[in-house]
Amino acid sequence: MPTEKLDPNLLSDVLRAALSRGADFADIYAEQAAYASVESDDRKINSSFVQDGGVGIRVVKNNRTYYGISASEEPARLMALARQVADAAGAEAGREASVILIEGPTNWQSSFAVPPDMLDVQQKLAIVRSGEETAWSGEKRIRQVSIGYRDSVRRIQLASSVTGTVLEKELGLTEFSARVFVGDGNQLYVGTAGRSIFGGPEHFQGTDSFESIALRARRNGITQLEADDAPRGVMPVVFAPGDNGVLFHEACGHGMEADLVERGSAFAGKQGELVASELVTLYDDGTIPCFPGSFPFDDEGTASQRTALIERGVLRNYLQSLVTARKSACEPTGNGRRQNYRHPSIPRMRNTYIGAGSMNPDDIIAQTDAGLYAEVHGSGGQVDVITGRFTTSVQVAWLIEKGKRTRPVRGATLSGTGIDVLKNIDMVGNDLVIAQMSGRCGKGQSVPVGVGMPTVRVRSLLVGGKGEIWKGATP
Amino acid sequence: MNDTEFARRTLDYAMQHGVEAAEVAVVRTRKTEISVVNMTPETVNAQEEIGFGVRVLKDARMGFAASNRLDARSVHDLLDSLVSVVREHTPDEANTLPECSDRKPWEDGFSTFDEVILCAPLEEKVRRALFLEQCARDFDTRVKGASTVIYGDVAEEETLVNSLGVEGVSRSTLAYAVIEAIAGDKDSVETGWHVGASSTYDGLDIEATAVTAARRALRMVGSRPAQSAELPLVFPPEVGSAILAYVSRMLDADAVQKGKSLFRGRENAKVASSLVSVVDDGRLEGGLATRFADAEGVPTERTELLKDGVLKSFLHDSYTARKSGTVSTGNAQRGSYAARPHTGTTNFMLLPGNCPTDTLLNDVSNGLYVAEMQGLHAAINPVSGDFSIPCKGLMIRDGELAEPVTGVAISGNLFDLLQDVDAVGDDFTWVFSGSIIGTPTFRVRNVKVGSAC
Repeated sequence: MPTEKLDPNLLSDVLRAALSRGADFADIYAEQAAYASVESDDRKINSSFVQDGGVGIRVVKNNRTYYGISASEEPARLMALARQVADAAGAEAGREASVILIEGPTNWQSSFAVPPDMLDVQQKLAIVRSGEETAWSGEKRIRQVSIGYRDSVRRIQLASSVTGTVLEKELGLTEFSARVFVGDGNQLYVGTAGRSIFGGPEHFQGTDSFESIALRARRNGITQLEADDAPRGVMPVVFAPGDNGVLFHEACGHGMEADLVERGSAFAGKQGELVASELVTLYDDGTIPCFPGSFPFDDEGTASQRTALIERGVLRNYLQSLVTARKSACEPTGNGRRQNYRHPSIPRMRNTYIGAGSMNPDDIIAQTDAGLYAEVHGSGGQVDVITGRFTTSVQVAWLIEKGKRTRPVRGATLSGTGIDVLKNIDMVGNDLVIAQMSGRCGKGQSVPVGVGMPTVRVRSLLVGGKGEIWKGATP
Repeated sequence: MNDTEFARRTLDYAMQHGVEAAEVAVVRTRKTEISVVNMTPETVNAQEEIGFGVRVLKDARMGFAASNRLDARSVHDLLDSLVSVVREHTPDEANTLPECSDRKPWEDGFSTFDEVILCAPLEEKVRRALFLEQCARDFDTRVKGASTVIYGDVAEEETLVNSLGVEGVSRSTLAYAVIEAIAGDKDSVETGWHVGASSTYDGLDIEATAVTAARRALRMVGSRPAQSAELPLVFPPEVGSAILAYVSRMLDADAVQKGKSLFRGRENAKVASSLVSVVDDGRLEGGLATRFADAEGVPTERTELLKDGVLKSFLHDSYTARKSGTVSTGNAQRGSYAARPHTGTTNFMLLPGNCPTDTLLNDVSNGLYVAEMQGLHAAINPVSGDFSIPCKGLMIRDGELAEPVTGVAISGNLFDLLQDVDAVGDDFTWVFSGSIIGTPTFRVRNVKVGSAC
């Protein structure tokens, strides 16, 4: 991967050209990225790698975004692109814009001990081989195993007329995921597990070691195979801490992204209002070291921060980019993110989690007479931000009977509206876990995010399952 | 240097560095996407890019790499790394690249490439996006706006050469409009979604797309939860196509061979109702996914997958075909220059039946017309086929569409659902949602419907 940086003088010239037809602001996003993967599927190991780089030029005028890209970094090509985007943005006659960029602080520390593109492929092959063996070994019901080790590194230069600086950062991710297909007769289930860490393989330790992840996927598959079908109906649901936070990412987070608020999301116009149980505080935090949604500054130069979205039930802030903050005359929150140089930034979540409460998690289960314990989340979810209706799924769940976790159930889908769920939270544990979730958030562009929560009980939630109609009461 | 010359030169370099066979695909993409919010353009994004992907074969090992750096030094560095790492891969006798077909795929057909998409001015495309929202608002005073309004188009040229004589260019264009309309009154707000798509610029009907979305939002206003019950369900094309997408994944020979599909070992078994016939046709005239050759240069074809409910065949690329001792059905796909070719669908369809769609409804005294499924990817298990899908819909009472309902979840198993199809309509419609799937309205006998009340 080429490592030459663009000259600040060239970036100044290009930015001036971008601003030459009049604009609120403009920025240049230059990226060089390398993506690599080693995968084992059907006991066969293959690898691949992709190099991708280019420059995106954005001109914002009257809060409208005009965008173009170039894969070439030749000065003439960049100048032409800047003029082209400026022309698209405005009919105003040419005028002198004065921009002189200075180099911004360069003391951002990389999360990688060794950059992924410098790692020895033998090390990755060994990790994948060992994951494959772990998943297959000593269990007759395994039908297939897929193991993936993927890493990426993205080196970015951001020149902006807002900050007047050229900033540099290195982003990247190491992802390890396992899918284990488990079958018996005519039944087939897949158990999945994975982690995405903004850092190298040395971070995969303890319960997130490569071996633990492979075993967890296998165990999730076997538990589904041995489980009964989930019941259907409205019931209390207790969520295990960690990855289940994806529920709040879907049910609440998206509706608080300022561009979707502007479109009339269910959370629009509710700042300062009670939208949740007073037990609920919801954060979106881009500062947790090595987390997939963390970075020193966002993709338009705003420093990262921890933003309180909900404090003790009251809606405080939305997630803002530069454009949405200008539209609603507030401060940007560092949530302007892009998948890569092909996209202009839009408000996106970072690592979103519910803050810790005070209850002992065991007491939460003990105080639930009958309900569902959602242990391992399924494959993401979806939300209609206008109505607030969301769907998420649970890979491994358990019945709670007389205050005890009893039998496993599979195929539970959870749905409802975000504000209803938030208001129905009646117990919050003291065991907050924020998870380096694998899997990405899609919103036209896909970006890595983290999620988290402590053990939480939702008094009543619609559970869809293939099993019997739920007869139990809700508290 | 044009794309073919670049591809040949890259291929020669690979062949001179000790591989047995190689393939180079150069993908040139031109895209426009315009989003509108509250009748104001929000983003105007126009871009052109080019990148290439290379596969090499050596000692039964296959390797893949891709880049958008086209200068000679970057290309050589990439290929040197690829030739070196491929030694570490697991040998697999099924690894193969196709030979040049006698059928010369690129020469025997017409092109679906519409130059108008490339030359229409950007301002006109912006006006199309604004018109999309305007049409929805004008349709009915209860339409309050739209949460998603996008006009987009893509022109793609894929140049493919391999060392076994395959050489050609596939060209395609697509124009699309996406809208989620918001409709309601003071008590109830609902959304309705539609995607319109055409392979030509003028073929895209903006107004019809907007009106469809507006109607879908309006019909849901005032919806309430339904009672839990077991009911016949009617799936219109925009919903049924999403279900069929999961069937298509289970018909992928790669999933079947690896034991990831429950269709494994079921060839010639009756896996669906006799009313169900499913076909994939990459040569269909005018089809949005029509290409004369697939991502490996194999001629596309019409493949019968399910005939009268009996499983006939799977979707193959060269690798899966060789593994099963059969021939490729021309179903190799490449998502972008950076993606390794893999099996996928072309124009995938449930063939229409002979039951007029009105009759299909008229026979239902009490049932549910499924208007939208929410979060399907989370609500259906793509392997076991188990599903529990939150839906909104319209009750069917005495053969007529009646009151709207929400907060209901339909649950069951996809394999059971295929067996329980008891009527297939005659209103065959193509649906664009990433993949291209066509289906008529179909009906399924008793499915569990769960509800919050």
